[in-house]
Amino acid sequence: MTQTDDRHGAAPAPTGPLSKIDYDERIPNNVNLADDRRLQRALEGWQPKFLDWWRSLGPQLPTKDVYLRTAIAVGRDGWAHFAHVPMEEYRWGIFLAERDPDKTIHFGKHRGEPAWQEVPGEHRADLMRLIVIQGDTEPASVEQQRVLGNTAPSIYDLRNLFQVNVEEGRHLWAMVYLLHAYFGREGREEAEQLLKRNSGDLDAPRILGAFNEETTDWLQFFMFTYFTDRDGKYQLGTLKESAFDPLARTCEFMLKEEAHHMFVGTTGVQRTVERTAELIKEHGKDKVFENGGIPLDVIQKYLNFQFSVSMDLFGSEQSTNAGNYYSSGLKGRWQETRRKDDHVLLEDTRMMNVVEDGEIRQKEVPMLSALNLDLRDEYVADCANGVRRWNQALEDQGLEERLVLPHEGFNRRVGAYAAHHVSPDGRVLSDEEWEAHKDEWLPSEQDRRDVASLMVPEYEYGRFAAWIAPPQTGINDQPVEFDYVHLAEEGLV
Amino acid sequence: MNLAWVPEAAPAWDADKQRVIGGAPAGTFVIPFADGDPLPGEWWVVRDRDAGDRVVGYGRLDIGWGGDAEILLAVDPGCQQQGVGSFVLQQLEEEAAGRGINYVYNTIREHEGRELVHDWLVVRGFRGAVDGDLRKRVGNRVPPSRPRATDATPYDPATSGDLGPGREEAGAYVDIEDHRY
Repeated sequence: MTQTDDRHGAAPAPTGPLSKIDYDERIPNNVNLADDRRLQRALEGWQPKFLDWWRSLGPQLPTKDVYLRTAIAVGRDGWAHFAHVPMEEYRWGIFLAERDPDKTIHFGKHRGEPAWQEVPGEHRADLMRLIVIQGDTEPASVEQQRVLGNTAPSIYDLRNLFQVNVEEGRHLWAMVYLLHAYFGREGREEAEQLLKRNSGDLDAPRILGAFNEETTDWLQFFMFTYFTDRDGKYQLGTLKESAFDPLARTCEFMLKEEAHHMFVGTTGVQRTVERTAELIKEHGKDKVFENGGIPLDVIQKYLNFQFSVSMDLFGSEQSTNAGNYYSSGLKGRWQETRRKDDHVLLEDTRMMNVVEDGEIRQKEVPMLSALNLDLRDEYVADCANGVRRWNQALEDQGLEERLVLPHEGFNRRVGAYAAHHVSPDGRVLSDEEWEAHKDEWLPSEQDRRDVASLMVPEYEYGRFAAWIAPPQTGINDQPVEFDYVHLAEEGLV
Repeated sequence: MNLAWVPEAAPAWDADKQRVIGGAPAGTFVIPFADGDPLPGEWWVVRDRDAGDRVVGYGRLDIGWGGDAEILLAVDPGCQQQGVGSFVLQQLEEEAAGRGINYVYNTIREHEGRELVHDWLVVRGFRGAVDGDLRKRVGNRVPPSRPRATDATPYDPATSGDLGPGREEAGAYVDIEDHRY
């Protein structure tokens, strides 16, 4: 890559160890791919299939180029290079975080042993499954969001959407590398399947349920990025602890990329709330929609929906497999090394909620069987931070209304609450009560139509759709009105 | 046989499970449980109404990340080849589909009947190697609205700058310990 103009911010000097990323190769990488010709040829054989997938199921809006970041080093904080790049020529590559030669396993029955550089035969099927599921989510969100560019509220937001999209594509590369490099023929076959399953496909949908529904509007996109991508972040956080070191290092760098994705979701909702708060103050809370904004109660319904379906992604509260993954060292807990316990958990217990006799009660369960719940609790605590941030926008406008996270049992299809209806404030409801009130809590068809009617594209640099406030700053210290995306002529039409 | 599919509210290891699951060929299941131990996951018991509600099988769903659901099924060794296994599988697939799950999988442990179990699952729509995951599509097939593909545009090289340790707002890569959003 070359640098041409003066539209880039100053880059501070790199700190920490920096693995060189080889951009002279057809597939950029920092894993010495050139030293393994067989693997290199296999991945170069997969590359055109990936590009075919990107062309047919990637972003639909025709663009000339987009101001995108690309990794140039994987030090402690990572280093990005920014440039206007045609998206299909983005340099999707394979980047693993630095290797620590002294790394040991932090948890489970192998605790204290050296981290694995190869896949142990006894854990091959489980590890491959975890990698396939992770890999399946990455292209899925690109497929779900492919039409969103047609209704972008600004060029700034359009660029952020495309940045998230190309990096989800890179995360697919990360998982495909592991499948090719460590799982032989079966790994290569699974890599092929990652392109054959498609979001919403009738016969071959994506594995995870929440990744099969088309993202229809930008409020849903921001909620998806906040709640559902955040689930992905937490899953990556557990794989970052894995005893299988190549997987751990892969996920560690993916998490650095996720920081900006989280920012896109958090601030996207925040800017929507800010604009709504302004309109409430100017016109009253019943006149928000007719003045071009999204009413706060509709935002709350979108929040309720995306939070509850994302909670289902964690699986059943109790799971034998989750315990086995932990004991075997395949998948740790969030921030495993910060936990103050024995990191084996054979004797530990915890409390979990269950519904009995129409009430939510607690029961004690073995900790090892409840690790899905442990991760979900960490996730919920993190989700609450964003809600506090959004409520600050309401408070800043002197409003008393607030957004809230619904109860963990609300609108659940998986786990302890699956057979019950629970209100957002945690009351167990009858079927009749649920039917009578669910449209007050979840987006109705009319709500979605109303929001969709506000989704008109704003492609003039520096301008924003009426339903969302501008951001405080631009990307890479560029102004907000920067030409982040150059649309192709047919895109402008 | 007149089979009934009954959910277990508080699944625990007991004599019936020892008879049915423990009666499988050695190595089929890992059974680290003692009498009365609570069992994770969702369990169903299959009773034969024509035989005084005798327990003839079990099914279990263990739903992991994103609804990737492992199934376990076991049939009373004295009731093999009478359709109990197919009944359990069908019920488990319906239970999974009812929870919005798209695929179920099964991994067959190494034991004397491994190839037979593999073939049995393949005949019923599962795909995968004998020593790996066997996966099957379940669930509804409501047609989605699918956008049409479009062609990308030609490349026009352009460039810009670098960004180091920093801020999510600016688009930087940020270590997980320093995430602010």
